[in-house]
Amino acid sequence: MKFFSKKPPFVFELLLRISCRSDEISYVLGDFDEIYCNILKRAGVIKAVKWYLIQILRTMSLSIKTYYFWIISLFHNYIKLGFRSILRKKGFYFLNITGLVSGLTCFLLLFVYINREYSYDNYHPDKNRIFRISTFIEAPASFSVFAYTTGNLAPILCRNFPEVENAARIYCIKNQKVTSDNKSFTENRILFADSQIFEILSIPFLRRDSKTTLKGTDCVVITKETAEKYFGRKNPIGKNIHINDDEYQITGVLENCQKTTHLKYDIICGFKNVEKYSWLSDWTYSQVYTYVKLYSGYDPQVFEKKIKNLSQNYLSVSNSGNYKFTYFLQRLTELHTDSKYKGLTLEFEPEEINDTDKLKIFALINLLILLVSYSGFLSLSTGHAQNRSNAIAVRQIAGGSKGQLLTQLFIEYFIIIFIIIIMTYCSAILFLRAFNILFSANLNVIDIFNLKFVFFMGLTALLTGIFLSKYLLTISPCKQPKSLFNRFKFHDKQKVFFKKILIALQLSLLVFLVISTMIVRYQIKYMKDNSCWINETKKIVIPVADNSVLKREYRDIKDKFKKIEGITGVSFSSHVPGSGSSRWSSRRAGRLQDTEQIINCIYVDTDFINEYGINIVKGRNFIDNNKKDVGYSYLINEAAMKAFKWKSSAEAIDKEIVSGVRHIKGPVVGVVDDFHYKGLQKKIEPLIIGNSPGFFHYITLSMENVNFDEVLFDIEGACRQILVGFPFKYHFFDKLFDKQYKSEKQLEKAFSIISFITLFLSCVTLACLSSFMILKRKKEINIRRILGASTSNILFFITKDFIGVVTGAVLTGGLFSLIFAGSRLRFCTYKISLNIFPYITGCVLAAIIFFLILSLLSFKVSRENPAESLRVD
Amino acid sequence: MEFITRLEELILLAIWKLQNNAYGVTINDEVSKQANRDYSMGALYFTLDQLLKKGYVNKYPGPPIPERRGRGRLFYTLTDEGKMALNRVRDLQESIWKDIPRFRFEDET
Repeated sequence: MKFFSKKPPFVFELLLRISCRSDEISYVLGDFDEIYCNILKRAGVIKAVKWYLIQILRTMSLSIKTYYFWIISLFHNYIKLGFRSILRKKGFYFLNITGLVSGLTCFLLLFVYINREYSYDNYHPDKNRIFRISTFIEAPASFSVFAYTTGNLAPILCRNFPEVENAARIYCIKNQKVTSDNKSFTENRILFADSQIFEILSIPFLRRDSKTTLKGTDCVVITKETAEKYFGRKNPIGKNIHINDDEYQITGVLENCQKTTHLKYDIICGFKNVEKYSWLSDWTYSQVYTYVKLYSGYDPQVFEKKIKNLSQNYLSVSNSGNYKFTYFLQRLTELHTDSKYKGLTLEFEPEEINDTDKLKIFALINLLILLVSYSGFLSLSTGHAQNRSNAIAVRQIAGGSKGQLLTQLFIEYFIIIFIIIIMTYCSAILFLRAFNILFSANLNVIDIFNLKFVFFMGLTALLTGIFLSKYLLTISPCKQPKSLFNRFKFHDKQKVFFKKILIALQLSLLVFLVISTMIVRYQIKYMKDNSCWINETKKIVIPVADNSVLKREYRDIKDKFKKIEGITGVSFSSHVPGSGSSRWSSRRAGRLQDTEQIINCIYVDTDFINEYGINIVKGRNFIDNNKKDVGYSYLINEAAMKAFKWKSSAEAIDKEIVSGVRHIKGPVVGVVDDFHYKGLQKKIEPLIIGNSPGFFHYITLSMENVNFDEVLFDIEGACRQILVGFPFKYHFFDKLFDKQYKSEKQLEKAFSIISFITLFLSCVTLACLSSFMILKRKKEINIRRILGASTSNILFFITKDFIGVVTGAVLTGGLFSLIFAGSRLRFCTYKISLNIFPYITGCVLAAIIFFLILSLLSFKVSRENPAESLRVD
Repeated sequence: MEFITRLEELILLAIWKLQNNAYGVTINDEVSKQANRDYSMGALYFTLDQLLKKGYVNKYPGPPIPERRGRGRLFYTLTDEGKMALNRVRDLQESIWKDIPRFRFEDET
């Protein structure tokens, strides 16, 4: 141990060397050694060490005081100066900082959101080797892409392909009643999964009782949230749980599923329960998700080629019915943003996907916001720097070295930047909730402190500070020594031109955004107006998850509803417009080859057509109590008629078609108008309407203008026995249909907010920049006034310079918005015609703002006494 | 006129008293004894550096000594400017304290 030698500890010497800056450090150390030895002899080791330590502490504090005192005091002085210069021009700095902060907040929130969307499913280990298999189904007359595959695929892959490390199936069911411990809820995210899924995807366990958790028939694992919902804090393992009348036993608890995954789950059951279904081994029936994990070193493209036509080995023409099934791989990490096959979106995705095209537009807008706000900030700061040049020059003359000046300016700008950063984070936290609602995102406060962004901000802040301080030095009137930076000094004319370009950029961006917002808004309004669901009666829609009662007793229930006062119409159906449709393979009877395709199907009762005001072009509606209609007859819309290659509606009546899950052959009794059962983004697709009560899942009620609450109470009472224990939920039909436009509305809101911010930023920048430029020419203006120019002459004189700027900006903005609108609207089937109004509004708005600001400034200049500025001190 | 501080005065006088034996340890002992206060070594060395810069003391290194593990001692001596500074301070002291009696308080003996 060092302490027992005569030498003082080495660490102490090191500390002394650092803190004592004397030249003759060895003599100092020698003195310390001497005293240490003396005390050692006198009083022992501990006292000596104690003395040494105390001396070091006192020396260090003293060294900090003396040697660093002046440096700290100088910094303290600089900070004081920085704050003083800010407070002297509070208004200007307030505008400057607020502009940049608002732009940066938007940028930060959008950046985090986009980053998050692209990082879905990144937490799985070996994510580059995990794929989902999806199916491309070609019918003789159409094609579609499913995210599902047949249930046979996964076991065959495991057995016959050496590249496959593991393959598992997942079957998803929604809207099931789950009961346990005398509590029951409607669960929406229930999966049935092969036990191999735990090897492929990362589904971490919280608690499990044995290794064989999902092998048994009636084993189930639930997430922590679900466990707390049913059992509170008690251990759920071993307890029973009923899913839709089937009893299971809980054998494990999972961690809550991550929010950033494409497949969310609450309850996972063993796959054995699905194996009792006959459709599982049907090669033409796709209803499960298949995930594979390949061994490393195998090329996924090669594997994809191998499995592409796998179904042909097991299907013959007779039992596939002319359908061709092609399998393709999708990367796990792309499932959320880039889930497309040759440009077609997949159907039956487990959760909503966020299209990468839309995200790219958001990223572009994001970048634009950043550029606009940052350029505004820079231009304002450099413009303001003119006012500081005198002070800097005086300081230079008084003897300040270049390094000192740079430090002072850098600290001043750093204070501003520091304030900006703090304010950005504060306002981001403040507006987080509003942002979440607007973009239906799920950001937490922690997500904002994204490492990439912090690094980016820090770097930008540093560079900005350096640039600004250097710039400030270059414009001081004192002679500058020739240095590298000074060689790039701008002449006055170039600086003015640069400022004009900045103004033009901001204005054009403003024009672009305003026009685009208006166009998007028009488009949405057009789509809403043309969906022709504006009926006078109010409609509510009640979803029925378990229709066992409804399908048996629907006639009695309908009478019951009709008896309630205020209800003018009742209708049952499998889907309502806006809630999607089923898709089954259908064809004309006898024309298998060229008409078989997958078509949308819905099943309705006899009142549906009247309730929704659908026009029957030819033929008749379903007739009540007609035995021949129920389960056999079909109505088709005009698009379906064309798809089945009938030339007119008269030709189609009484011909037979085959449709539905059980391939029921039945006559077409009527042809209806094409009505919008999905949003107006796409053309109206073919639709087959059948009449089977077995599929009724929605009740539509039309009401007159009566007291809504009373009627609601009666409705709830009538529903109680239908809903079989499920809670009573109702939706207003028009709101339900509006959900089709969710992503357009998101875009519109984003654009509006960004336009407002750009408007604010532009006004601020314009005002400040213009005022700088005008102030520079103050003497000239005042001379003109003395020579007899009136206020309007002055106004003309000032604006004359900027006309080029405004025109250029307006033209650029208009052009870009034209291109943008054209490219977006090209994909819309129902689009607004080319309307001049938004363009004119945008341009006029920009021009008005600009001239308003300029006129205000010129008024200000005209008010003053011209002699004031011309006086020579 | 420039005056030296109290600590500098103490150190200069201690150096003069110690004649040829004025190095870090001894100066520290002397000053602490005189002022009845435990000055840290750091304070001493910094003040000595200041005095060196002002030109009031000179330094010369001593021979290495085995006790100090091979390091020598750094001896300080007064210069003429130092002596003049001391005189200035003494004159100042005498002139401002001239004709002022020693303050007495009631509870003093």
